[in-house]
Amino acid sequence: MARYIFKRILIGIPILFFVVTAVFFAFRLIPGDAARIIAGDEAPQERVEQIRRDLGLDRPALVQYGAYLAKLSRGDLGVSFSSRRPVAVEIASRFWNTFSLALAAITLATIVGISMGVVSALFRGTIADHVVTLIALLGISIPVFWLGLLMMQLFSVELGWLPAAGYGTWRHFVMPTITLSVFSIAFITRMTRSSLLETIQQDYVRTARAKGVRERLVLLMHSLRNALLPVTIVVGLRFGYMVGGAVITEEVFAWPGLGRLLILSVAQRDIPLVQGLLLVFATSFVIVNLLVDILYAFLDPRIRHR
Amino acid sequence: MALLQVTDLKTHFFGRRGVTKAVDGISFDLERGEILGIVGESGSGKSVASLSIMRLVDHPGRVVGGSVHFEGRDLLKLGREEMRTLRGRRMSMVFQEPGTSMNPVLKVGFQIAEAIRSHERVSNQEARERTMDLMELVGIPDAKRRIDQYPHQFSGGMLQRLMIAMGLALSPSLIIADEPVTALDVTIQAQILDLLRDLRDTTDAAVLLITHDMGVVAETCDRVIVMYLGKIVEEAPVAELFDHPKHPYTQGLLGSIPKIDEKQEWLAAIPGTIPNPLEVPTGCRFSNRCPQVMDVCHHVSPELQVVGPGHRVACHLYGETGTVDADA
Repeated sequence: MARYIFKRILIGIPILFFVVTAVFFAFRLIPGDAARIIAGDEAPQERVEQIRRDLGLDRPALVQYGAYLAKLSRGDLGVSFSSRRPVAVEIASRFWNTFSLALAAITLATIVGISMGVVSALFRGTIADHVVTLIALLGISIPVFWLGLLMMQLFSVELGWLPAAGYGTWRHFVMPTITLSVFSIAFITRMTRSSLLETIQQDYVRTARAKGVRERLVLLMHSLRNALLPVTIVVGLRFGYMVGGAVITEEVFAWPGLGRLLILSVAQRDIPLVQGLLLVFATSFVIVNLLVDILYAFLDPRIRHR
Repeated sequence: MALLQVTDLKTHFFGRRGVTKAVDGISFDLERGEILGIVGESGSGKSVASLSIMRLVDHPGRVVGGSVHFEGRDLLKLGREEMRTLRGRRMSMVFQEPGTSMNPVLKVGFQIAEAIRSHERVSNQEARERTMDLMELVGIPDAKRRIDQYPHQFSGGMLQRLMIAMGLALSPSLIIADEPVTALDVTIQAQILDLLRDLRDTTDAAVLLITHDMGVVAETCDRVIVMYLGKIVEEAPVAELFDHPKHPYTQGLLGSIPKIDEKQEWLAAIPGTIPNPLEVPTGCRFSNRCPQVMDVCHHVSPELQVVGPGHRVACHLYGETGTVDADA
């Protein structure tokens, strides 16, 4: 088991290295000049050159890349071009906002998704199944921003029940959480349904019935427990996306999280901040995956003993 | 009264393209301490018959008629909970694929103990001790350690022993074994069959052994039923069946076993294949493959008739009986 975890961690390192490298060079390819943006449109060319030199952007790309890696290896993510504060501080101040929203959304998605999936599978072919399937289909196809705006119109503008945007109380959480979780709810529902339909046909479920196990336990211990194995992977992956991919939801609800910070930093060509953010996203994704793998091995002895 | 008395049992599958009469009116008895074999090709309805007795037929299949009297009660009339309390306690089942018939994520000890816990209130300690005893009874070495292992850590033969331990947990009076050795190596097959016979001798349980393998029948059973397309075509004590098979289908089945003491150029096989169950021939169901087919066979469905002590056969060669098929 320890070996298994160690191997998983080792695999994560080249992935992160690749992300750092890809992001660094991708940024050289897109148009836009950080120095010009910082100096402002009106500033004279000398001022822009001055800033460029201060930031070290006048050096060859490979030299900059080497310098960046050297700093990174000491745990230094650099300083934001626009705010002049350390990137680590910028990210840390907003990380919890994004993380708590992701946590709320994945919790909601897991509970609702699994429940709907179970209902759908157990009542296959009935009205309940069709209704759940329709909801899931809508959830997968509705654009996130549109749903967010629609809810805002209803609950904030018309009814005045919930704040339209911002961060603070639990009320602020309601709409962003729903918006962020809708796609995952639909995904987890479908996954649970198909997985459960597959397991209830397994020989061992029939064996359980043949030895007189109570129907409730046949469902919980034998069907559902096995059916949820692949669902844990989906839940983990979706959570990984949420930590890094809440860009649209955060933008719609003016949520002061990492997603909004990313949009801001890209607009300002704030290279160190963008790089820092993407590195954090990739790292959380790798860590979440690692946790899912460990959890999976814990739940499935066939993997543990390999 | 016999331990198990199946009368005119019918189980049909209601599919999109029509009704499949997987079991179409079979009747037989099983006494305590007896091992009764049911043989037939795949599609003959033998497995469905055994699942029908346990009332474990899955949708879209349904028992549509007949009765199954077990220890004096008609199982088909029992409520779900009553039926549950019988399964695993008075009657249990051993399945074909030991590898897929155990839950891969639960310890084997837990799965055996589950059979006990589903019917009796026992302490953890007691359940564990009884499970260990059962594992030793079916010949699992080092039960103390292996009780906490998972199914994938066992071989097929060992898993089948565990399945049998599970079935024996509460000393049932009927064990239904559906192809219990088909998935196993020949040497392991013999061990498992020996185990089943020993258990019959020590517990006086009746065993219903479903198989397609005439060798297994010869080695293990007291009496045999031959099924073809949902009906019983012949029934006889095992020695009688092998010495004097009456039905052309039974003769065909026995003829297709290679004999070691005769020089044979070709292995005799039954011509044709088992028909599509949706398009069963009228009259005798075997008529389109039968080498001795007569005119009457195409119109009249033969009924079982006695041709010797304990020997029944459904074939017009031994006197015309039965009813003209409605659709003929």
